[in-house]
Amino acid sequence: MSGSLLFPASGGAKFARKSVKAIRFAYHGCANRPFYHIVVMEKKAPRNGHVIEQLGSYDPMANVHGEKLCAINVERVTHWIGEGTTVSTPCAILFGLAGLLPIHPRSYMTAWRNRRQQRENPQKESKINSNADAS
Amino acid sequence: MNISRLGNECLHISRYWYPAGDTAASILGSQSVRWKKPRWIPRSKSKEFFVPKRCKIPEEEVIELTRLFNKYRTEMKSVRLHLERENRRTSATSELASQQAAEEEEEHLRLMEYNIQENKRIAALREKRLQEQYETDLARVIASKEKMEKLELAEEQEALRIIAETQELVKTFIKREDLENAIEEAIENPKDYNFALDAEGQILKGQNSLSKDVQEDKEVLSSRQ
Repeated sequence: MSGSLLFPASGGAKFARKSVKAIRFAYHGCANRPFYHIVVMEKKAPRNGHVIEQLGSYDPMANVHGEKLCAINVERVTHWIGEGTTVSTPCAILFGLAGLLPIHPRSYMTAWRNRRQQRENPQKESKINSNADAS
Repeated sequence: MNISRLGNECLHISRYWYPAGDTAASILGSQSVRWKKPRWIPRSKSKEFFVPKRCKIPEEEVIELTRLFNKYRTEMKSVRLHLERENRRTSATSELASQQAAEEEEEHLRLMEYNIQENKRIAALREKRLQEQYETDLARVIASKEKMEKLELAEEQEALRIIAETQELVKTFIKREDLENAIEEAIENPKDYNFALDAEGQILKGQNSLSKDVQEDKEVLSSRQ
């Protein structure tokens, strides 16, 4: 479902010069195992359609060291943003945390809500993860 | 199960299911089942008048979020503007790019000039080397030719010598017309080879030898003398 043999996941889709494009996540995981490619696509293309260019990847599940690995091609991301490409909210949050763009207000919101939850009942695990809702 | 009948039956059973495909069952012998309520089934009776509670965001949070979003949008606008300018500055048609292209062209020309000079230098070296090689080859060939001529001359002389020797030898041959005489002579002068030789090459005749035909009792083989 997430992958297709018809075209490469790395990009190469045709696009009109003035079409609306978006930097967003393309789901490449499977059941209960999310994994995303950060891609440029035409905004109305299907989620796992042919991408214009892959700009990175994001693994929202923490590894054994508690890291959520993410790779971003900064040069191409800045180029595409400069071209007027819209950035989806989850991507904007990720880029904000990566220091590429200003920090997204939703990151602050998640943080203060987690803090408040911790304050009110410290035993409970904070349900909202700072970046899990990015997806 | 017929899907059209499902609507009535679903009201009585707790879990809804219907096959996902039409032909899957007959082909594979197994059915894909979709455990979801079809769209045309109405809301259940228990939730008919249920209105979900609106989540309440505190007033100060709303104000803070508005402020943050306004700030974020402003910052994003300026970031985007900056990146657009950067793109324009570094694009293929920009002044910077044309300047870089001109610099690269200049560099290329310089390198081409250097390349030509280097080629010339190496060509001169090669010319010299080839000339030297030609001369040494020529000398070698001439020497070889002389040597071969000498060898040929020696071979010719050797052949001539063999011919002369053979011609000498030919004189001793028995001719057809002298054949009868030679046979008669051989019959008249029998030669006895029935003897032994010692280490010095002396001939030792035996008892059964025809000693009367031999001049000497002890004679040395002619070849050893």
